[in-house]
Formats: sequence, structure tokens, C-alpha cells
Amino acid sequence: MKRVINKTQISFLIAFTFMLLGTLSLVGLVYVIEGNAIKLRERVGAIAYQKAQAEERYETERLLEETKEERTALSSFVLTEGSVIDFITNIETIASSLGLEFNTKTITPEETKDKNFDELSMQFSFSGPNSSVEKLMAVFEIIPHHSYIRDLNVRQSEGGNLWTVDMTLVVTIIEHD
Amino acid sequence: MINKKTITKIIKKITKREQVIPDQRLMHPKREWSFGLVLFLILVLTGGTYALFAFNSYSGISVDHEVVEVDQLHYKRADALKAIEVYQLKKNVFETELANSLVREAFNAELETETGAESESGEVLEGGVVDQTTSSPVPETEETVDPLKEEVFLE
Repeated sequence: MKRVINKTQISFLIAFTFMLLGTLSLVGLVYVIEGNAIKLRERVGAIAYQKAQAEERYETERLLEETKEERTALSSFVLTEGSVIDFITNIETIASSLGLEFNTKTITPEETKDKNFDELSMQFSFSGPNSSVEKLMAVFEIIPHHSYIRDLNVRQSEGGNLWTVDMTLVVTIIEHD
Repeated sequence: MINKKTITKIIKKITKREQVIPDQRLMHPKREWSFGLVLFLILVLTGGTYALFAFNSYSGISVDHEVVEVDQLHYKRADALKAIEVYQLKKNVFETELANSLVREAFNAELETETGAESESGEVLEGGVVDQTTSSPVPETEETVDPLKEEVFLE
């Protein structure tokens, strides 16, 4: 039996097809728009990050230029591998002028957590009159370099006038001159 | 009060099929057109709302409005200046002490030379020992400053 489709049914089918196409088009457009929006957001984020980095780089360069003198001054207060010998020579000169018997026992490099700095542990021993020993110990307190005294052992002779000091001084050194 | 008989009567009335001729038409143009129109309106309104929302949302995307966190370099200037001040002070005192030491060294060397010469010429004290108590190794002049006793260091 042949089925007859009347005009109303044809109109309905056409309307339905258009409605379906319209719905699918709408869903497709939403999908495309949302996809592009995600890409746009990512690119805008990347551009904003680059812009912020460029601004920060500029600020850093300006800061480096501004603080050049301060940083040079600060770095002069930290010993370098090359200036350690001069430093010890100076200490020995002062000790000698104070009439002390001064001896540098060991110099041991020590690693630190900081990747820019290392430490140098120096063991000194000096002896002489108590006033001179006190003076040299006071000199150690005013060393114009980043340092600290780790150990200090003072022994007094039986007469009381002669003091012997064993000490460990730790100085910070910059890894690269 | 509603009794059982009344309730049964109402249920029968509801469930009883109406004695009318059923509608044999497959299509109802008015109903279909109305339904189609409503669907069309829903589609248009949904699309329009989404378009408005998307426009408002995405037209505001801008590089300037993005909040980005970048690692910043913090320079503690006050701490740096304070450190420079402290260490500069120490440096001045240390260098003065070093300079004084060099003077003392030179003086001691000179004294030793003189003492050696005097020994050779026979000007020695009793017991053959040079009297060093009268000649301090440090030249006690007014210009000699002991930096370790300066107020700066004592602080």
C-alpha cells in the first residue's frame, strides 16, 4: 500500500528539518566560540605574562643600575679567593707588631647552601702578653669582612702574664671574583 | 461528610470514557504551528541570550586586565645601607690599626737596627741586655691613635 504524504506533512518535515539544522548550528557555533575563547584566554595570559616579565626585567635593570655603588661597596666586605692571603698577611702583620707569636694552623674550605658563597675556616694560634692578646682579639672583632668566630680557647700561663689563644675564624668568600 | 458511595461515584465519573467520537485527524495545524513557533522562539531566545553573554564575557578580555604573578626581585635597601655603614666603620678602624701596626713594625725594625749598632759599639746595659722598657715598640706620639679604643668601636 502506497503511503501518500500530504502538503501539511511536507511542510511539517521541512519545518522540522530547519529547526533541527538551526539547533545543530547553534550548538556548533557555541562549541567553536567556546574553543576560540579558551585559546584567546591562553594567548592573552601568555602575552600578559611576557609583558609583566618585561616590566620586571626593566625594573630589575633599573635597580641594578641604581644600586651599583652599593653592591660594589657590599661586595668589598666579602673576601674573595684572591684576597684571603692578603687578609691573613694583614692579621699576621698586626699580630707581629703587637709582639705576638702568631701561627696559622689550617685553612679549610667549607661549602654552604648558598650557591654564590663559600666559607673558609681558619685555625689560628697566637700567644703573648695578655694586653697584646686582648688587642688582637679586639682586632678580630672589627674585621671588615663577613666573618664570625666559631671557636675560641684562651689559656693562661702559670705566671698569668702569658696568654695562648686557639681560635677558629670562619670567613665568607665569594665563589667567583 | 463524604461517604464511600460518593467517593466511588466520583472515581467512576473520572474513569468513565466520554461517549464522544474520537478525533481521527493525524495533524492539527494550529497545534503544530503553535508548537513550532514556541520551539523557534526558545531557540532564538537561547541563542540570543548566549550571544549576549558571550559578547559581554569575551569583549572584556584584555592584556591589561590579566593578573599575572611574576617573580619579583626584592632589594632591601635599608639593610644594605646599614650593613655598608657598619662595615665601613669597621674597615676604617681596621685600616687605622693596620697602619699603626706597620708604623710599629717599622719602628721595631729601626729599633733593632739601632740596638744592633749600639751593641757593636759597646753601649749595652748591665747584663748585656738592651733595656726595652724605656723604649716602647710603639711610638707614643700625639698623632698615634689607638682605633680600638675609639668610641665607634666600643659601641
